[in-house]
Amino acid sequence: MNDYFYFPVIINFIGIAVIYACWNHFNRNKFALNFVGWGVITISMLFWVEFYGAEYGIVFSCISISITGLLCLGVNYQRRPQKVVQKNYQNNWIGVRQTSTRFLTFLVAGPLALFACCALCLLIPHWFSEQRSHNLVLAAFLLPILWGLVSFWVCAKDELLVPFVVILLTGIFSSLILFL
Amino acid sequence: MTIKPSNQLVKSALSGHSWLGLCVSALMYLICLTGTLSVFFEEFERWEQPEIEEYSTYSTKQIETALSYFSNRIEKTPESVYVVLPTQAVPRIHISGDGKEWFVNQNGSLSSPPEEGWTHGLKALHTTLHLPQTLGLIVVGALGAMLCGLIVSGLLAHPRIFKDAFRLRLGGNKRLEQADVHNRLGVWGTPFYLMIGLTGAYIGLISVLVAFAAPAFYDGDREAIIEAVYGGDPELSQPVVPFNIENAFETLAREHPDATPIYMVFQKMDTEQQFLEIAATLPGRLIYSEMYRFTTTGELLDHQRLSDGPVARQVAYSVYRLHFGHFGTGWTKIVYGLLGAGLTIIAATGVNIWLARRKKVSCANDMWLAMVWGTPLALAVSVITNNLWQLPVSGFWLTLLSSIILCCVFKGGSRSKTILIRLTGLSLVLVMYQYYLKFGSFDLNPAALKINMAIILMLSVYLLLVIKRFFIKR
Repeated sequence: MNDYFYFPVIINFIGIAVIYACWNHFNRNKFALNFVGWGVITISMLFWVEFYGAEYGIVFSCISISITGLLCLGVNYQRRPQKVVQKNYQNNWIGVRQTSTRFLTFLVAGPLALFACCALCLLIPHWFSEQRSHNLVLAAFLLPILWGLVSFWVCAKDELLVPFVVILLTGIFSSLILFL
Repeated sequence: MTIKPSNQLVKSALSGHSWLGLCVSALMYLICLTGTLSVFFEEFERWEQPEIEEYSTYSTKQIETALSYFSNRIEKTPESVYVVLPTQAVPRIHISGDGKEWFVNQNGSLSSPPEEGWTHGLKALHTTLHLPQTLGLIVVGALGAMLCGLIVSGLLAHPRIFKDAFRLRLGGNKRLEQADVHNRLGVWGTPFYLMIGLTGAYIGLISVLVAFAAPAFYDGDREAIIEAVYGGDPELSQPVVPFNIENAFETLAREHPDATPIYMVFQKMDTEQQFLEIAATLPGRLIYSEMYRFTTTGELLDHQRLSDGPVARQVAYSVYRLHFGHFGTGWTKIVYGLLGAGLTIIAATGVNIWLARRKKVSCANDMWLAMVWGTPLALAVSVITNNLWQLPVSGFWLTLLSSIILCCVFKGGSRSKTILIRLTGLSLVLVMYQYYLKFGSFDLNPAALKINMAIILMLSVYLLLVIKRFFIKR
């Protein structure tokens, strides 16, 4: 650890402290104070990058924001007596219909969505074939985000039919473009 | 002007977030907990085999001696022989090839083989859930993708999440308490958790993408994709003579003084195409290593351009260190451990919120409690079963299963929880006892000392809490 370690840590702490003070004490000029706080945090990020290089600096900066924020949280917590609510113990068997619906949701949000997302992501290296290796890595990073969001969408929908049709068609069309 | 999502959007986002979270909760919790511990796998490996000689300097003569001992012990020359060099985190040398592996003493002779013990089981649980390699990697990768989805949906589902960023109400209403812990830890850790989810998913799902991309772009040749992204091997034809390792190290020190060697690979040994690779870390870089390639005489051929090649190659090769926190100093690992523990708590509290919202209690409550408190117990018991019968995996799953059965039979949340915590404490005491019995000391190397001290500290804190509670009751 080099001698400058504390410098970006302190600046980052000041930034979070300004945001915390604004949240905790001030009702006026909140926007301005928040702006100052995030500005100071941005400056601390620049110091992280300056002292540790771009790669370590950005990661250290993100981590330090998390840790400082959680420390503020540790200072600010409120403790109240625990309310114990008595509930009845009751086991309900899950019905066949409910089980099959959940299984179908799993199939649509899982393997089917993975197939569609894979095919969709690979359209990037397909269309931009000059830098294919670049775009393959981009597709590899895009895949989890896309799949995660599609699964979330499937789970958020009450009806399964629309997501099923959209995902299936996306997968088929993307595959056709890829392989034909 | 403020952008406020509609109530309908928030409602469906919350519903999607809840369902997605519930579907993956148990496995997500397992992956997060084992991931948190896996950050320290190097220390655990040193803790498990503390009798291995440790040193931070090495000589080319030592490596040559180790190579000749290795060649004598194996029947057939392997295509690649790996010599892993000492680093600050693991000050040991080990040599391997064709699945055979030994530690190397300071005089170059071979020591014991690395044990496939508890740490190996822990890593396998985190990376493959003890499933067959490829399937396990895909399942864990899928969970990484779901984590990304959960983070984004979590932000969408909670419009006040930034407004309440510093509000933490403990006690009172159980659901409110759990929601506060879940949301606060979540919002502050978002960039870190997104990074972990993304890198984890990349590691796990790359095989799926390669399986799709190979027939689409490379006539089904998967190796061609790996070569396109990471670069290929050099083509050589030279007389088969012993490697001049000393010359290779001297050339590396002269040409790339910043590079710190971490391992070397003797490729295509005893053939005309043989060459030497030295993997070295570079200061301030997240790439796992740069690969410098040498001829048998020790002349520098080229480097794989992992550090200065195409951006995609650099990014792809930075994923491992970014995911496991193996860069910078030991502090990085500690911070990764803390934030990993935060993610584990988020996984646990997410389900707690759902359970607290229900009007009844059912076996789902007991099973979840068993999962949360039974997993640490299962991990502690697996150390014991590993020491006794070299069965860490069976020890883990049997204990977890027993915990679930125990909780479902007792049907009493707090009572089952107390039992599981006490059993975990007791198991850790047994682990310490076994360790002392086996090695006769707690401080055979710095890593062993740190881990033993951490366990003793945990036990002491737990004991103090028990004593405090006892006096408060009286």
